[in-house]
Amino acid sequence: MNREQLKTLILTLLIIMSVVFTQQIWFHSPIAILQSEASSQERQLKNIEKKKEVIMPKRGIVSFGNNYHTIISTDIEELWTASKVILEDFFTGEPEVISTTYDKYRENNRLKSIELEFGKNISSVLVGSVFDTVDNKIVMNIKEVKKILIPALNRGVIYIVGKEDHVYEVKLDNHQENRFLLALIDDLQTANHIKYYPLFADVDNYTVMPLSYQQSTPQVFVESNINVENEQMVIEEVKSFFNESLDFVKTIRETSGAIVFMYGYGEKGVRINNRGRLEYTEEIRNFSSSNVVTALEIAIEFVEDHGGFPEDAYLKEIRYEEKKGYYFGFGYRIEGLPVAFNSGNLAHPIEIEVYGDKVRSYRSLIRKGKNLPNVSPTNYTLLPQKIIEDHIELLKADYLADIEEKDLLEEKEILNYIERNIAQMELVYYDTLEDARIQLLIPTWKIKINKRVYYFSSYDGKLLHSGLVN
Amino acid sequence: MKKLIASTAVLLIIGGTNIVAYASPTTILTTTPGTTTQEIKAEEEAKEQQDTLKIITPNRDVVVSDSNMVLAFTAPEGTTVTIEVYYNTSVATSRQNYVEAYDPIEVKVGALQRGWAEVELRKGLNKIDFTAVYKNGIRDVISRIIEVKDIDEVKKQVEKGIANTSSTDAIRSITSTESKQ
Repeated sequence: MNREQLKTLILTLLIIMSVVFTQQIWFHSPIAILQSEASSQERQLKNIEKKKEVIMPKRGIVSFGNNYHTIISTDIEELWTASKVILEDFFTGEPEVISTTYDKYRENNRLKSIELEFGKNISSVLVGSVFDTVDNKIVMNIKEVKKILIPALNRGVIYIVGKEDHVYEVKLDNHQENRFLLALIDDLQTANHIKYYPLFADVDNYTVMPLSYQQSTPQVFVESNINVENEQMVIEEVKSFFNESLDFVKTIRETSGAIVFMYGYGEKGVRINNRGRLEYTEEIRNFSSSNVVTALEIAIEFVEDHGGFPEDAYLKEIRYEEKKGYYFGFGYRIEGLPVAFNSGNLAHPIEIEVYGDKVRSYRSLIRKGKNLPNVSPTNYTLLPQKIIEDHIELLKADYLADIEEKDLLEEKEILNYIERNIAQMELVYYDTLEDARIQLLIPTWKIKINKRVYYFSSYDGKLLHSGLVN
Repeated sequence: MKKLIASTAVLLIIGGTNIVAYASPTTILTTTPGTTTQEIKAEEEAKEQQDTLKIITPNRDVVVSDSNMVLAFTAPEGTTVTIEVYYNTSVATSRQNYVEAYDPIEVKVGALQRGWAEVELRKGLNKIDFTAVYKNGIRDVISRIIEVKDIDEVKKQVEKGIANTSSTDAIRSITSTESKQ
């Protein structure tokens, strides 16, 4: 082999090598990059879907006309899907928005109609984002959506209750007659349902209540999503908060059984208490301003990346905190009923604060059904008005304490006050948070009277909790 | 054309009155036919007290289109209110023959001093008797006559009425309990 031949060989080898490496860089790596891009797009799409899922009414009150209603909480999705078809025209079209009176609203509510109740402070722009529109007449004129009333004989008019119970009439000129909401209401009327009536209508309180509750609601066994005693599981749960690695994370186990994970000097931390409540905090120094839609998207992405939403989750409350960031509270349902509890540091099952494009804090306490048979009730659900009567002395005492009136008021006056202020009546599962592993949830009447909220067991009428609404 | 005007008018009337209920001024009964003088006395005595049985719905004799009805009333705590529903079985329009429809409903008035009951009525004339027995044993009876008419029947009568005479007559014809069947 002479020198020239050796050179040729080396050159050939070099060329082959260059081809191989180029191929490795330009063919293998980009595929991985492209794939991750595609998956992030997919994830984004999934999150947008989720956003549309969580922005839904808390419950729907269907009016069959003649002061006769039913409340839809379990199958709200069906009602919401049907309503969305009608609402879409209003959100994407050019409707006329005019201020109107509550009487007009009542008038339409007494005819066949559907009333959708949203959470607290829900911005109209978020409801609009369900229809992929952020800039429309409704969003411009109405800041917040509390309730939407859709008359069944859809004549191009809907009513929206906004901030401070202000009522708006939203009118569409060129609307399409749509009869399927009417058909849905008729279907619901023939199906098995519980009848609700505005029992205190004569004192101008139109809160609907049942006169008989023939359906039995079972008690269910639940457990916390996170079992703090199972360290391996806790670590798996927590890893995602620290970029999948706990190498630089300090772990502290408190005497109460809670575990704390801390990164650096406490810039980032996760604490899981003995009941399985997770609390994540991060120090945020600089943040840009943002709007509620992006903030919610960030919140949803965060929750989805760190454990995900429980089934049947919905947006319950929004707060704009000190003009800096957004607070979102989410609720969820078990067996069709909303889950409620009383905890000093948790108002809703999932709470998240978004500042700019960062999450400042995230707290969650989610329970899941245990694979135990539900306990069938021995008796029927008690009626809320019966429970109120049984606890009338407590309600009276609370009223006197709230108004700070020292003079003795007349009995009639107090009764009248209670009758006028019964604001909400809802069957929920009240979680007493006594046990992390096996907790029995009892169907409970949540009754709101003015500033106070009461939870009474629907089986025996026992008071489980009462407190002032924030 | 006539039909169009007629049906628009019907829709307006039905749409305008949310509960399809019309006052029927011709059959206001202050006491039930079977009330004895003694009972009337008792009623008067009871009325002298501040709190007596008051019927909120129906607040007078009415014509309705729905056979299900929710009765609401107020009475002092401890009162037992018995509600009896009678259907009219008489075919003659001039005379009514009321027959008890089902077992009386008993409502004990609690601390809210209110009572409610769901009753089922039948097409035609119905009579509802509210008998209150107060804590002191005094009785009080209030009656209501409810007429249930088909929404179609109401509609037909309005149409007929509009075609023939003025709308006032038409409305009178449906609200009047005399013009039946």
